[in-house]
Amino acid sequence: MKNLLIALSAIAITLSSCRKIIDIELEEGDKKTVIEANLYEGNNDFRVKITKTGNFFGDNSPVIIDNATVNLSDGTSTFPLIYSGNGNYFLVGFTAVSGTEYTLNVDENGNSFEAKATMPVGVDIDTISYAFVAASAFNDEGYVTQLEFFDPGSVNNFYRIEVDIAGEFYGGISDLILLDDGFLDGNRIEFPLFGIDVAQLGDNVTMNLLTTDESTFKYLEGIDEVLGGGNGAPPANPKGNFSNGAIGNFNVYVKDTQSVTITP
Amino acid sequence: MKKLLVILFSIFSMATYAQEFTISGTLKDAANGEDLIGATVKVKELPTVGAVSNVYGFFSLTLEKGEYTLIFTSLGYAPITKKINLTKNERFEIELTEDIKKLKEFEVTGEIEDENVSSTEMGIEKLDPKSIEAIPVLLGEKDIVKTFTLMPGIKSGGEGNGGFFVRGGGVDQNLILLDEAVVYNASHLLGFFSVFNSDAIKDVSLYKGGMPAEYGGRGSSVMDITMKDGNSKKFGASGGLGVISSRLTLEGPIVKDKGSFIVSGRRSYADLFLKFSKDPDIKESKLYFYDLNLKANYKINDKNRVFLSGYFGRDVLGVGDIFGFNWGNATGTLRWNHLFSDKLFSNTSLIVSNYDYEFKIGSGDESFGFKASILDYNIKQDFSYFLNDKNTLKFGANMIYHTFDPGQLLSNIESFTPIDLNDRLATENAVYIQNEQKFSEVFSVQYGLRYSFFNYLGNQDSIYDYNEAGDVTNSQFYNRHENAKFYGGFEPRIAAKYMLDEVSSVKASYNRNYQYIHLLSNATASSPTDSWVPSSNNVKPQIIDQIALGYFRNFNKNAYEFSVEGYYKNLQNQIDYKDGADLFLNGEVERELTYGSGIAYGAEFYLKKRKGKFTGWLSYTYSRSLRKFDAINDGEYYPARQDLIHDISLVGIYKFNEKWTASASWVYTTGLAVTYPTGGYQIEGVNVPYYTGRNQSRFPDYHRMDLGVTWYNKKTDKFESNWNFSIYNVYGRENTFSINFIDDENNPGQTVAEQTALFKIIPAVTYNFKF
Repeated sequence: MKNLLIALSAIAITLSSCRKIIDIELEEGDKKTVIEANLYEGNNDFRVKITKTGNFFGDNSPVIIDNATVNLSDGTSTFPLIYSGNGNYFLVGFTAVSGTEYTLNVDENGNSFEAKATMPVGVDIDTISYAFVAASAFNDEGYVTQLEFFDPGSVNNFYRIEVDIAGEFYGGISDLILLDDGFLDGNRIEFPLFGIDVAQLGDNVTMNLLTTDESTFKYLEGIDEVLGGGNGAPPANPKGNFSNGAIGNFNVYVKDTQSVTITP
Repeated sequence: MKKLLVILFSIFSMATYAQEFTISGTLKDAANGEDLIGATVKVKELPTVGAVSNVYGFFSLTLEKGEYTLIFTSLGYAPITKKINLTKNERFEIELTEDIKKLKEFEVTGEIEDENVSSTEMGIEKLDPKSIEAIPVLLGEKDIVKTFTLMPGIKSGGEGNGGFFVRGGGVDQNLILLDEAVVYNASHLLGFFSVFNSDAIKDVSLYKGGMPAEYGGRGSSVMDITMKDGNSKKFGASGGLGVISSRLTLEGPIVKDKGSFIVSGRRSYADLFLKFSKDPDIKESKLYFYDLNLKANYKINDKNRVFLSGYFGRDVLGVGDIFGFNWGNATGTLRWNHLFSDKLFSNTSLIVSNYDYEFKIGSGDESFGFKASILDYNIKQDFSYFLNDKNTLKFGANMIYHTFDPGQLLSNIESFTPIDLNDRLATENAVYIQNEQKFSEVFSVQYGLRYSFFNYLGNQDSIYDYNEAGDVTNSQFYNRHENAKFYGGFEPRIAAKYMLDEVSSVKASYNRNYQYIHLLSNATASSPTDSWVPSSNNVKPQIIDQIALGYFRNFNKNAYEFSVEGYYKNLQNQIDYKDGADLFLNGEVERELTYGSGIAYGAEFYLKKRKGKFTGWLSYTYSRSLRKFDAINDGEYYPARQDLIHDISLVGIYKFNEKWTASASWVYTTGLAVTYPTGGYQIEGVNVPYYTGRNQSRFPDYHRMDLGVTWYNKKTDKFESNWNFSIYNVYGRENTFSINFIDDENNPGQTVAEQTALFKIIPAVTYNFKF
């Protein structure tokens, strides 16, 4: 849908168009607490970053919160996170397990924010394939890579994909690659990565398949819409799972990685 | 209800206490046999008595036995006078001849020229394509919709946005009828042109308020377009060659003076230029639209006449063979006029309307195709009863069967399961009665009542109820055509006029409109992929009430028209998306909706110079359009996108001589209300905008000036032609199409606003001919 509208606007704009930087006046909003939290399955350092919203134009470097109390709980034990500067709080060497519900608590100047998330069961990459394509309006000549895996049936699965082609990274917050199994439940999924640059002979390609939960997925979709200018629907803040109006989402991921080198 | 019956009874009981006879017939153009709409029959001896021809040129006037002088006339035509001794019912077929000299000077005679003051209707704008010839337009393509947006209270959706806004209503609240058939998407090329080819159009009326009871189904306005019938005297051709498109119209008699046909086509050819590109994908790209208007009519005898009309139009876009997109309307109307008596005129119509779009992405063995459509079958019966010179009654009924296909997604990829969302079915019905009654020389009222009702029908599937959170609260299976939900309501309509003196009047109107089908837009701007949905167990019909008050005054023997109208509207059951809604191929789109209310109010000022070498008008509108939804903007009122507070249009036409006419127009509008961030934050090192209220910011104000010159070649009996030169956006104002927030190149990490404008200066030339 989004691509369609972009293509349409592209056609319209190529007819005749002019762009320029303009000044517009924006109303000042209230300052909100922003919590960034990504918990990965397995043994990892768990990092939480806490900031405040700032200006949109001009100096918009984040306002750091350094005096919050942050705790992660797995239902039986509670683990405190330690502040380590620049708004970051750490829980070093924590093991997160699929099927467990985790609760993240943040106490900031008397305001308490809480989010719960259950670590999903991960899905493994089957293989990374690639195919040669000629140059077209949408891509250069090269190899389109394809991620292939088996989607488990009768459950809703949510995926985020990260790709590294010869050191170029795709699938970050500003160019998210998201996929759910709504139309493809229980099928072998062959996901061609059309939207990104093609690979060339000899390139190393690494892909991460991140299995995530519905809340994370919807939140990332919201981010994608807000950053991409969206599909034109009235923009809104991405909805996260924190209580008490904090911005951000307690994200949970199970990561599987594979690499391949492009050969003729 | 009881009161209404009393009124109706009193009308009928006023009947014949003296011996009365009826003068009826048709009024036509002598040159081409086209029916004249809104032509008048005046009685010299009875200055306040008269009749007006309907859309089929038919009139009927009942008078007491006696000797009279009848004057038949129409705007721009030489009047015909006939003396009669009325001792029996009389029938006339009157052919009026265009008064060329007077028309060219925009000077007209007869009572009709003060129509704006003397008619009961208010909130109405009328145009005929002839009168807009000289107004400069984008790429020289004269366009009735674009011209209407120069009138008070009617606003353009903006460059690159289809549709128009009437008195604070949305694009989907306009009922657009082409020979009675609903046109669902009136835009070509993403809104740069309307789908109405001026060459095929005879007459257009746009009701902003005070809609007569015969119209219904939309909340804000009615645009009623009548196609030409075709020349019943002789074969003729006309057309135009322009920079973006060309037109050709052929018309002629089927049987002289009994039947005629017209075929009018138009095609754009911007894509021909793409062929010159070196890039193979651009070379293979498509970008065009076409229209085809067809109409035929045949007069079986004095009492029966049949018409068949159709419209087919399509836009086609494509990039190489990897992307294709097309959309279009198709309509057909079969009509039968029958005269039951000299006073009772009947029209029966069978109407089909279709709108669909489809697109295809990918090529070879990996492609996806998507299609969606809406299809209506409509049967409509209307009667006009010309009771006497004080009362004209209209009554009728109609029934529409709607089929909404929300979409199907197909692919040739084997592992892909095709998705076909179930069709949604509904019937929309109405009965109405109205009367236009002259109570005295100065006071007349048009009053009516419409009862509309709607059945949302099952289609062998389960229908879900959703709560405000979008969760299913109930599920119920319905068979095909089993009634799943019923809505109905009375729609009272009333408009009154009181003449203060010979040159001024005050008018007031109230109307209630139900709207049972709704347009859901994937984007804030309207696009061909917007989808129509029926009212259902979850979606209630929109109910819109409007009151309006106006003062009308003409100066200098009707050389100047002035009017001011104020209105207030209350909108119930308005629909919007929840924040972050996903609409594409969503079989449960209703769970993404939220409901609220709205108000709209405004004042419209209009000053027009109608006579002399210099003609034109100035229009200013102050208006607000606000919405209130619990789930949006913290439940506070917020401006609708079309809340364009100030709107000015200035149009001037100067006729130097028979050969040269120059024109200029200037428009100014407050920028569209849009939602912009009020702050920002970082997630994983990326700047993310933060939003507070809905539509709290504005695009920069819109303004533009256009110039045009028309050069008429010497006209002969056989051939006439003209050249039209125009410049759109003379001073190159870069009006906002969109604003994107991007990283500042000079200060990385900081955000700046980048505006995209579509058009700077666009010159155009068009050659028009007729023989």
